[in-house]
Amino acid sequence: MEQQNEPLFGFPVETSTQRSLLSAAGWSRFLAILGFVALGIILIALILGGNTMISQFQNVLTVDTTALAGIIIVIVLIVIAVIGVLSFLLFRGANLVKKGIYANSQDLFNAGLASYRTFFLLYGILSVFSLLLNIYQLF
Amino acid sequence: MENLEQQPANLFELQFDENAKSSVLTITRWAMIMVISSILGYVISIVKYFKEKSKMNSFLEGDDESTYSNVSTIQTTGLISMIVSVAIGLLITYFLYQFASKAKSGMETMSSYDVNIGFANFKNYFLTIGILAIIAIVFGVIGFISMMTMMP
Repeated sequence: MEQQNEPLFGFPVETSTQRSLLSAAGWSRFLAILGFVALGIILIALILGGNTMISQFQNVLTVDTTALAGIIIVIVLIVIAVIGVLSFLLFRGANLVKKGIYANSQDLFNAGLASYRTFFLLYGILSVFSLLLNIYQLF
Repeated sequence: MENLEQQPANLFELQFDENAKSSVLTITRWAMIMVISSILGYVISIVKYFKEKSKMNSFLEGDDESTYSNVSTIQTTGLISMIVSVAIGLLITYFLYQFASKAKSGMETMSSYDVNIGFANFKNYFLTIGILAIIAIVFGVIGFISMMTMMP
């Protein structure tokens, strides 16, 4: 009788692919931690030097302080949200893929890949947005 | 009997099942979009550099030799830094492109070989960015320390 080696629903994740994924997970976890650190630095800078920053901007731009503060706070909040979400997705994806491989759990592995998928989707949208901004600045 | 004993290992082996394949295919699609937008971005930054250079040169026409040579030094430094950043960017984009194309074809044809190459490039992509981040941090710390020591 012929031995059936073909998996039922897909194809196996080979050892070398698992090694690459584990290494990628390690590095992406490191990058995610850097993102969290950057987030912390931005928040500390905002808390400690927010007023100074607004007054310096006001000197240069001569705009109403309240409106300027509002604009700066909105921009900083958007930056914080983007860095935070990207770092979180990268961190989650790395952790779940790593756990999935070590525990041989298909659910954890799939959840990790889904996190990476959302990360790349968001990052892709941002890169298209930055390209459009670049094109706009060119003309 | 022997076959039956081997079956559970096959069934519970980590696989690229339908969910995993769908996630990887979406990742590769967006990675390819990132590759295209990165390359276009580099082209735009090169065009921007030469546009600003010609603008600056026409602005400086008739100025004395020393001003012209100072600006020329700044422009050369700018050109070198642009070439270095585009080269590094292209390297990262190359890994992303290799990952996107190989992992996609691997998922579609169920080729473990292509998937292996694809994910090796996925690893290289994060590894390169990680190493660059470490270099940037080291330079940042050195800059910060030298700035603090120069302060009265």
